[in-house]
Amino acid sequence: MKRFSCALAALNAAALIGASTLAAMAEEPKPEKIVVTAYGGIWAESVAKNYAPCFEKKTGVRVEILTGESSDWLNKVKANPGNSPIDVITLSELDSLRAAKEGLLEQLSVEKVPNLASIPDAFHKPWDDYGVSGNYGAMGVMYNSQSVAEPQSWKQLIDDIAAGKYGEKVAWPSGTYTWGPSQLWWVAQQYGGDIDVAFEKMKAIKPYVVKFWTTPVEALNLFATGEVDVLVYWDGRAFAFINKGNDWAKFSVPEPGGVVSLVMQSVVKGANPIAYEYIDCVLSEEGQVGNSQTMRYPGTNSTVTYPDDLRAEFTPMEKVKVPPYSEIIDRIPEWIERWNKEMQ
Amino acid sequence: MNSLPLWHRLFVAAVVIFLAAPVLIIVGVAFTSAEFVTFPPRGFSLRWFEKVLTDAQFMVPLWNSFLLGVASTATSIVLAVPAAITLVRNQVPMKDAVLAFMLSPLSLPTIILATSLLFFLARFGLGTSPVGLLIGHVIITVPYVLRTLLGVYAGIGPETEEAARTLGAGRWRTFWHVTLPMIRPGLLAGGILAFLLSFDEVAVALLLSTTDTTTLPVSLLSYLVYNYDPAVAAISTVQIVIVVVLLLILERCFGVNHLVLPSK
Repeated sequence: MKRFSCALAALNAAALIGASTLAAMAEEPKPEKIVVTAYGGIWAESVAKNYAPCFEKKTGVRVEILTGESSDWLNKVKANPGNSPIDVITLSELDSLRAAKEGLLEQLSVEKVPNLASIPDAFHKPWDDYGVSGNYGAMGVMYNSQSVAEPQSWKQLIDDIAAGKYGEKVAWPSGTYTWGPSQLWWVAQQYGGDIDVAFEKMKAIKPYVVKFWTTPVEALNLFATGEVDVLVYWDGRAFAFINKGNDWAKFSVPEPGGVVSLVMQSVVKGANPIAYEYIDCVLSEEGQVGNSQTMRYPGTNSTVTYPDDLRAEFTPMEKVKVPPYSEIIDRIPEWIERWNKEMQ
Repeated sequence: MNSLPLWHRLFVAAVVIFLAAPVLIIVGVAFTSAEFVTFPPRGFSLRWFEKVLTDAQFMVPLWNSFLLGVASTATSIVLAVPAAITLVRNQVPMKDAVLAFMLSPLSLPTIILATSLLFFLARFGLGTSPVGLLIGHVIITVPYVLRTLLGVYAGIGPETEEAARTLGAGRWRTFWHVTLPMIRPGLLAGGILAFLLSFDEVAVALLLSTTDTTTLPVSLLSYLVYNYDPAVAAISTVQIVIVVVLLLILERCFGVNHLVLPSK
């Protein structure tokens, strides 16, 4: 009987905790905050350290960070029109175009976001100002400098891999990775824009590719553990790795440049207009330099001056290529399907 | 145990290794001093524990997961107990169909359930509310509690309850003093299962949680995609410790064997 009372007491306590949790959790969202999004870990840390303080200082409004992925956030906004749980959403280039098309985003302007004036057109105009990227990353090659030489051009790199020059020690982004289709487009550009040739080349290198990677973490693990010597990877993530005492690793963007990844920042339709101030902070000198120091990715604001050590790592703007997303958006599902059929 | 043939012992050892190896690797990796997830771990350090235990992006979701697990378990029990009693003791029209319906969430991939719930609950203004998240988890956990309760309750004859009623106890008194103690093993086993399922669940929480209600699996998932350090191994170890401690407390307080096995 005593044991039973003990069990009941525990159950009651559980039910009570449950009920009080519900009451606490059911509170209306506080109007004194805005919700912004960020990928997990270091991305969220950068938002908390570099963007949020600027916004909070300017407005007195608290910033809350929702971590996750572009598609999760987009689904949440889509499901709750007019009552979005997110005020400022960060989307991949394609998701941003889709969201704008569906009327889920507000259009930015220099009046609402003064710093937008200093951002080159390539980082917002193709999205018709429904989004702007605060930073950019370039796809290049991180390689083990103790065993392989710096690759000079993409064409040469692909031919060398296909000829077995690097052995079976190569990792390349998969066509199904978020920026996989962009990289495929870029390979096609090396051969006159022909996507068929791009697929032929990918098939030619396949026997030497240990893994067509789908997450940056698995890619970096392959490289760090020495399973691959050549990793097609993002510049910022590569330098973050090299700077942690891994001098044997080097990074370079082969000629004629690298395809870009952007993090499109947008104000969600119906969000409090104060959210524009947050995007202005992202694009401000303070936000841009701070984020670059944390993430090793350059900012897009052309008027910002960076410390020398950072500038030395940046892939210059003229070397990055922004794919014409609005032109290729309808062809990408077909490329992904083809990748799944022919490459896996 | 002595009488077990060698092949039997080897088989048991293989099963134990198969089940325990991933857990041991996670715990091992958590104590590494290296920047990367490598096994065997290089060096010994508590730095990753220090990082996660002082980092709000792990600790707040850990607390949320705990509260959500407790709330889901309590709600599931409240829903499953009357259902089990009715289904076992009463003549319910189309009993099999009702039972199949109540267990149907088991057959649905949780990501599909999550996506439908996201859009469905939003229509009632619950899309961003913690209640929506709780509803999602209860849909997942109720069938497990119900299934466990049904198994236990169906094995108990109605005689004891009937005796109580004959001796003048009302329905509620019979339930409280006779039925509940008898189904206790099912209740506890189902409850533990429900808590663990909710504590671990990722798909529903991914789509229905907000900044206030982010759960640990969700924050682990988004952390894992872009970060390669062993912090996730450290927080997973903390999670394992919490579950083990809970089970030990249950064992100490009641004896798990006594609770989850029907008394003879």
